[in-house]
Amino acid sequence: MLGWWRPRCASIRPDLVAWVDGQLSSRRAERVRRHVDDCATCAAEAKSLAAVIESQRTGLTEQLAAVSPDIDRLWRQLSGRLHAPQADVGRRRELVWVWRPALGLAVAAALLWLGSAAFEEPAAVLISVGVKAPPAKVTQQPELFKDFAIIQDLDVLERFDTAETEPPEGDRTPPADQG
Amino acid sequence: MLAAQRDERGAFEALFRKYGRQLAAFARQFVGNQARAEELVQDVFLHVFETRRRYVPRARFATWLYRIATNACLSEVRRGEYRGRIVSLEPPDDDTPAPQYPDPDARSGEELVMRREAGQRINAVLAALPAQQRAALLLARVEGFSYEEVAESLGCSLSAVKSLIHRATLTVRDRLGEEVR
Repeated sequence: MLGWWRPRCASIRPDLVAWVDGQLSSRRAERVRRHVDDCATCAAEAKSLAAVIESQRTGLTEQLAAVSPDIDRLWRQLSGRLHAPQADVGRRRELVWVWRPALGLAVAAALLWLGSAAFEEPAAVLISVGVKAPPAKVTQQPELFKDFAIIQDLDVLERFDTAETEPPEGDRTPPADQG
Repeated sequence: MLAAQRDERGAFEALFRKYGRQLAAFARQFVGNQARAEELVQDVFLHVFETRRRYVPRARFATWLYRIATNACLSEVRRGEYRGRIVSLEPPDDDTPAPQYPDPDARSGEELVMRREAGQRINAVLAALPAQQRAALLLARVEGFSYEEVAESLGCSLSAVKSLIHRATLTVRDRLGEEVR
């Protein structure tokens, strides 16, 4: 007998509080009601829970009612925050640690740039470096050597000191006599 | 809320006056300090004001409001400032006002003391509950929310709410012993 009703009670107990609160679906509530009608233990538990829930309701409501803030003062404060130029002043305050250093860095960079512009030496004079004309293969198969000019320029820059300064093919005209 | 959504004059203030006090009392149960609870209520209403255009009246306004408030309270608890606080049955020494009952003359001094002590015990037991159980219990017992509304406010399932309220009810009963029977 004991083994028969215990599992049923165990499956009903988790529903008891919700049943007393009237929050179960009608089918489930009916199942609990039928069990409680038959089981004196669960009926006693349900009765105890009903008293507990009622006293919790009264006690908690009374406790919370004891907290009575000055609603006029709160409204004045909230109203001030609502009508601030940017309502979310708090969030802007939180971002101060981001924009202040960023602004500082920007100002420092600007000053550095201005300073270096004022005191830097005259701009370096770029000297055009003549390179040898491309080999015949390059002109015959240009698709294979499309990067030849770039590579040659890089090569020249790498060996700047020893690079021949011979002007390109087209510029090999002898310089005109001066005077 | 719909009037506040249309920016009708005085509508938002009316909302604040209607819900501000009870929300402060609710928040007080999580932050344990009246001043911080009031700040939290202002933050909640500021959020309501900023997001009022997005409000869709598919449920009671109170459910939506308490969802924002509960999130704010639970975040505050998660920040850890209130974790591990020792719950005392002594009267709090902060700015908590003493419970004011509607008609003190109607009760004897002894009864008032007993009720005050009972209230402090309830507060202590509540404070010891996990935050979600506390929120569920307060919403169901004090605000009179249905389990579905509690689920909406807490952002969890109906079965989770049933379990939260069940456990909270039994814990409060066990800890208060005969006090609430």
